[in-house]
Amino acid sequence: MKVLIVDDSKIMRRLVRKTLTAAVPTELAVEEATNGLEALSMIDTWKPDLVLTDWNMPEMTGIELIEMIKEKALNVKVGLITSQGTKAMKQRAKDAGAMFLIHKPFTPERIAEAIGPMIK
Amino acid sequence: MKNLKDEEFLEVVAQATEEVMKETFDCPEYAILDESQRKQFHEFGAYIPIMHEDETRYIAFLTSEEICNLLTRELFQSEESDVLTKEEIADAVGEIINMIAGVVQRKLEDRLPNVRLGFPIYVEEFFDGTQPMPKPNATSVKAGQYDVDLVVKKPDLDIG
Repeated sequence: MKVLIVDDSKIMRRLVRKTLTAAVPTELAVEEATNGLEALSMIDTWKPDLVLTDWNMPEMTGIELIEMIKEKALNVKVGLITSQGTKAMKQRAKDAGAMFLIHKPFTPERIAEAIGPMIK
Repeated sequence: MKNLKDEEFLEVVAQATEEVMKETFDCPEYAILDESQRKQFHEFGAYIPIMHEDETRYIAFLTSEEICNLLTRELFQSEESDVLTKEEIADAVGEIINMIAGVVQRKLEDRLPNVRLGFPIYVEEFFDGTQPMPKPNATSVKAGQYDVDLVVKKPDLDIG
């Protein structure tokens, strides 16, 4: 399974990668993008199965990234890992096509619970 | 935010900080210090704007330079011999206040719907450290081994 982590924070990309590896027993191929535009390019070329994106990023937010993925009809599942996550934001993420929204701070258990069903 | 006093806001920030410090850093204990336990105001850390309608508040997580380094090392899981860059420290402390603000946003959701968060800003001189802590906008907490000051303020005061 190929997972693309999108976050403008280097430390958060590292934390998500580490927690993901601990949470999921399957071998994963993990790549990172620092913003939405870079992510779109990598989705096109690397073709991940899953994109894990932050919400609050400069230039392009996570929700805008999900909307672009939908608009371009790219075949990839997307989940949000974000500090934010009010009921209204969760609904907006769901409407945009996000599979799940995980709050920061997160635990391996929360990540496993969200991603587990997607592992082939 | 007009209906929310700074004391109430600060209380929510302290609760959010407890959640973040316990979950992210495994801090076994968390205590709000009373005034006699408070030391000089810390200056290193990060603040983040929280916006609701036409109002903005800053919330800040402030500590010593040494503790900023320790927190960054723990998040990056780096060795003591590894040299941290200023960008890495700013990234780590910025993420801490970002997580705290996210928890605050969720805790206040029923009272303040549609609260928006700005981007975290790293600071090395938030207030003049020789001055007493402003009240009622600030409190001090001890999260495990870490001493931290938490501040809620309007953006009209000077920030270093």
